[in-house]
Amino acid sequence: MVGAETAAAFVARRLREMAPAFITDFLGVDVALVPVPRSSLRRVDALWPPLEIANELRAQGFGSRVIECLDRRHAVTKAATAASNERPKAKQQFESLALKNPLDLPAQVVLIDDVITRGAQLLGAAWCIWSQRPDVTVRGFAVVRTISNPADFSTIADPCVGHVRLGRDEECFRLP
Amino acid sequence: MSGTPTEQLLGPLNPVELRFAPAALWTAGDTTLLLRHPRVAIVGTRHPTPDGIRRTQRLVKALVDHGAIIVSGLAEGIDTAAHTRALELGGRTVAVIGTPLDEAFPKKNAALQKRIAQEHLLVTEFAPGIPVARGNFPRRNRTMALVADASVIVEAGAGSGTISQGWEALRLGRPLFLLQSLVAGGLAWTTEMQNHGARVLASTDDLLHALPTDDIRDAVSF
Repeated sequence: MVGAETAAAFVARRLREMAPAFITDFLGVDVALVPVPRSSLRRVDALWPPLEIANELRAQGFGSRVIECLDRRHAVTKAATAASNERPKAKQQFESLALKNPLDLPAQVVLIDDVITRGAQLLGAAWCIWSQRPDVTVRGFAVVRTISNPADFSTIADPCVGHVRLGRDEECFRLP
Repeated sequence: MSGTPTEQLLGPLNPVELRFAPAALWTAGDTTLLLRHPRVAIVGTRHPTPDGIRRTQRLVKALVDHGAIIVSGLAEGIDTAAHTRALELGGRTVAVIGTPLDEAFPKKNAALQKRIAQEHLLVTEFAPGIPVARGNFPRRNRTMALVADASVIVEAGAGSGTISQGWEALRLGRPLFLLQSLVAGGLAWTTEMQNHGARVLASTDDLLHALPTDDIRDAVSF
């Protein structure tokens, strides 16, 4: 909680207040918000931060609707707390995910996550969607991006658009 | 006699936390401990092995050395070892009990309970006069998961009430750690909990890194 509101509500409200121009396009009214499953399996009533974030973004007028169409079939190591050589790669992420009701997806989807490290989870989730709906444009949104070098850290609130790409050794690279 | 609303003591709760949160808590002692971080629950069987007691004591020392508040349930075994070690080390401790404040279970922990109520903090969701029943204790464990920033299960068998605390911590999205020695036992529930996000506690550093601090909470304002 941040004061009297949830962290997800706080972030969505601040994003609406800050309103960087690219966000209006990125999370526009023709975009479906798809929460990314947790790294572990999840019981039905358990906390699912990406869903909370997606619902709060929607409540602030971002996107057209929230679609819970991705499921985790088996647990993978949580990247945010794992050593860099133990983080699951995009292929492992893809193989651990399942897509429900693929025909429900509109032409544009934004995957919603809480933390992005190198982006393997987002890429694995996008790959899962493209495996059944190659026609869908998939982008990703995360509230927090990790910064390895403390010297690169300047401010807490720093919305930006970047890229995740897959290297030849199956490692993901995120810019910025 | 009414207790204090839970959100007044713990701060605002999110919808997942509210689902099983008691409407009110009865407390004796320093309630500011409920607003300080990190609070770590250390729980386990009422019938621990000597190794289980030693591991509990080592873990409590590492946490107290880092300023953590030790939370447990004042039951026999691991709980008692956790509270007692915290007191010996001059640390702070919170007992979340399954009886009303004016009753003790087990009775032999009555003196320890009284000391915690006077010098630290005693918490219960059971109003005065509520009979002590078996069903109180899993509820107590669920509430303890809510009170703590993270939970650690030291030793527990297949039917242990501690398991309900582990599942509740996972449901709440709070860190849950299982001691390496517990996982090595190959119990089905430890594997299942790991599949749902529980982590194996290989070193206290892993635990310390997973905990919130007051400094971090203060810093998040922009």
